[in-house]
Amino acid sequence: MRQGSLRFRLLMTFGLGALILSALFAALTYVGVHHELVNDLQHTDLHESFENAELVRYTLYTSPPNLDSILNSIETATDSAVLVKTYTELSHSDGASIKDVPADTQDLVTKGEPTAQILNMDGKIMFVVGIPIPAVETQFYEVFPMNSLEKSLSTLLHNLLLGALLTSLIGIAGGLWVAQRAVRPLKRVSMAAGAIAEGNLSTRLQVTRADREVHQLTESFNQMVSQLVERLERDARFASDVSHELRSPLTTLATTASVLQQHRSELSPAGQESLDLLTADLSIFQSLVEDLLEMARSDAGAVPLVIETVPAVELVRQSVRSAARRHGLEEPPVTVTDNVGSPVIAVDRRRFERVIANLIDNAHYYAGGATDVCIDVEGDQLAINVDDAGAGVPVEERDSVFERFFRGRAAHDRGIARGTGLGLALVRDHVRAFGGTIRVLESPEGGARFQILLPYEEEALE
Amino acid sequence: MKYRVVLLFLVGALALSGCTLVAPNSSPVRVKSVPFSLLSPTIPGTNHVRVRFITQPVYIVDAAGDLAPSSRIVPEPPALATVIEQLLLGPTKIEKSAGYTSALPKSLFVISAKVAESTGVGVINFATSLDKLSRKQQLLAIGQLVLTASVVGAKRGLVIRVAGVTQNVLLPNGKHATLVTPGDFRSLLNG
Repeated sequence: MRQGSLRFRLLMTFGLGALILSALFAALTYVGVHHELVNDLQHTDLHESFENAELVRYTLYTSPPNLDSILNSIETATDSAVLVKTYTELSHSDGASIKDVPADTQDLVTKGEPTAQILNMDGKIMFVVGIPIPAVETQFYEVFPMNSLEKSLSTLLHNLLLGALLTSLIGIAGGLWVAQRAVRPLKRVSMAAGAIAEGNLSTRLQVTRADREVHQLTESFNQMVSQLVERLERDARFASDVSHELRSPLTTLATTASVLQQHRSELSPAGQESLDLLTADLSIFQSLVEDLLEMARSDAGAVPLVIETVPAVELVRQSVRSAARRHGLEEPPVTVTDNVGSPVIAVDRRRFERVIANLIDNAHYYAGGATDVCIDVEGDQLAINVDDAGAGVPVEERDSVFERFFRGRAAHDRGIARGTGLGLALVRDHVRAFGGTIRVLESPEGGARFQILLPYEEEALE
Repeated sequence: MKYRVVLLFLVGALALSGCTLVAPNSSPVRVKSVPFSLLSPTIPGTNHVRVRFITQPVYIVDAAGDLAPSSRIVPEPPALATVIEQLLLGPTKIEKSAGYTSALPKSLFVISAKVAESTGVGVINFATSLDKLSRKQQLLAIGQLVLTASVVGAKRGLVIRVAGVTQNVLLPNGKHATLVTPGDFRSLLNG
C-alpha cells in the first residue's frame, strides 16, 4: 500500500481520528476521575484526622497515660501512622516515625497552623495532616499512605490506554473497510478505462446496486464511453466515406496520368518534369487514401477480422516476398533461429501481409532498406524482427512512431515526403487485433529493429 | 502534520509515564476549616480548662538492677495518681531496649492515690497486694513507688494500702514499716 494512495490516506485518517478522539476521551476521563478520587480521599483522611485529634485531646485531658494505646488503636483502625508531640515528649503509634513529618509542616503546626500536604517519600505517596491542639499543648500529626489510590489510578490509566488502543485499532479496521468500499469502484473505472485505451471500446462498467455517488459515476462513465465510441465511429465513417469518394476521381487521374506517360516523349522537357511530379504525387495520394480507407474501415469494424491459424515461418516468407515484389525492392533474407520449431500463429492473413509490407516499406523509405527479417522466440511469444540499415529510432520517438501522421526525425532530416504517416499506425492496430504487440529496438548492426510479438503454438505433429 | 500529532502524543505519553499518578505538594497547605474546636485554647465543655504538661521523674529499674529516674510528662499540677499510672506503664520502648525494666506488675490496679499536703504523706490504695513478688522484686517495686511519690509531694513518706488495708511493707534493711520514706530506699538508687 503506497503512502500516497487514497486507501492509505483514508486508513490513516480513520486510525488517527480514532486515536485522537479516544486519547482525548481517556485524558478527560482520567483527569476527571483523578481529581475526584484524590479530593475525596484527602477530604476523608482530613476528616478522620480531626476525629482522631479530638480523641487525643480527650485522652490527654482524661487519662494521659493511655495515649500510646490510643495511638496504636488509631493506627490499627485507620492504617495511618499517628504522632503526638505533647510538651517536650513525642508519642507515636508503632508504625510512625517523626521522619515522616517534614520539618516545615512541624514548624507551621507548632505555630498553630493546621496543615495538609501530599508528599513523595522515597517513591511512596503519603498524605500528611498536622493539627495543633492548643488546649492540651499538643501537636497532632497523622500520615496516611495513598498507595491504594495510586493503584486504583494506575489500573484506571492502563484500562483507558488499552481502550484507546482498541478504539484506534477498530478505527483502522473501519478505515480499511471504508477505503476498500471507496476504492473498489475507482479500481473498476481504472480497469475499464485501461481496457478502452487498449482499444476494447465495448467495455462498460456494470451498473449494480451501490451508493448513489458510485451509481452516478458508473452511469456517467458509461455515457461518456458511449458518446466517445459514437464519435469515433462517426469520424471513422466520415474518413471512410471521404476516402471512398476520393478513390474514383483518383483512379481516373491515375489512369489519365498513365496515358500521358505513354506519350511522355511527345511532351516538352518542362511538360515531362511536370508529368513525373504529378505521377509521383498521385502515387502518394493513392497510398494515403488507401491507408486512410483501411484504417477507417478497421476503426469502424467494417472489415471483419478473418483469423486463420497458419504456419508462421511460411507466412513471414510469403509476406516478405510479396512486399518486395510489389514495390520492386530487393528481398531481405528471412532467418529463423534454432530455438524456433514449427510455430503456428492465429492472424488475419491479408492484414499480416500488410503489416510486413508496411515495415519493409518503412525501412526502404526511411532507413536504407530492410537488412534482415528474423523469426525468434521471446519468452512465450513469437518474435518477428524486421531490421533496417538506418541510424535507428531515437529512444524518445520509439512510442510516437506508431502514432497516426507522426513524422520522425529521419523523415525530417531526409526531407522525405513519400510516406503517408499512417503505415506504422496501421501496423500497430493490426498487430493489436492479433493479440500481439509491436515495439522498436536497436538491431545488432545499429539500425532499428521493429519487433512484433505474437502468441503462438507449436504445430501439432500428425 | 499527522506525524507531528503522533509524535506529540507519544512524547506526552512518555512524559506522563515518568510522573507519579498523584502529584505531591511543594509545600504544606493550610487547612481552612477545623471542626470540634480543636484550635480552641481551652477544652470545650469544661470550665475553660487548659491542660498544661510538665515533666516528672518516675523511678524504674536499670540494667544493673538499681533504681533510676526517667522523665515522663504529666498534666500540671502533677497528681500522685497520674504519676503512678505513668509509672505502672513501665519503661518506654527505647528504655526497654537499653535494659530498663519495672518491678511493678502490669496487672497492678490503683484504686486511689493522693498526697496529704498538710503532712506530706502519700497514700496509694491498690486492688491487689505485692506479696506474690519475690523479696528483691518487692523491695524494688516499693522503692519505685516511694521515690516516684516523693517528687509529687510525698516527701515524708508513703503508706501503701491493699483494698483499704494498710500494709506493713518490707524495707531494704530487713525490717517492716507501714510508712516508708524515700530515705529507706535511697540505697537502691544507682550511683
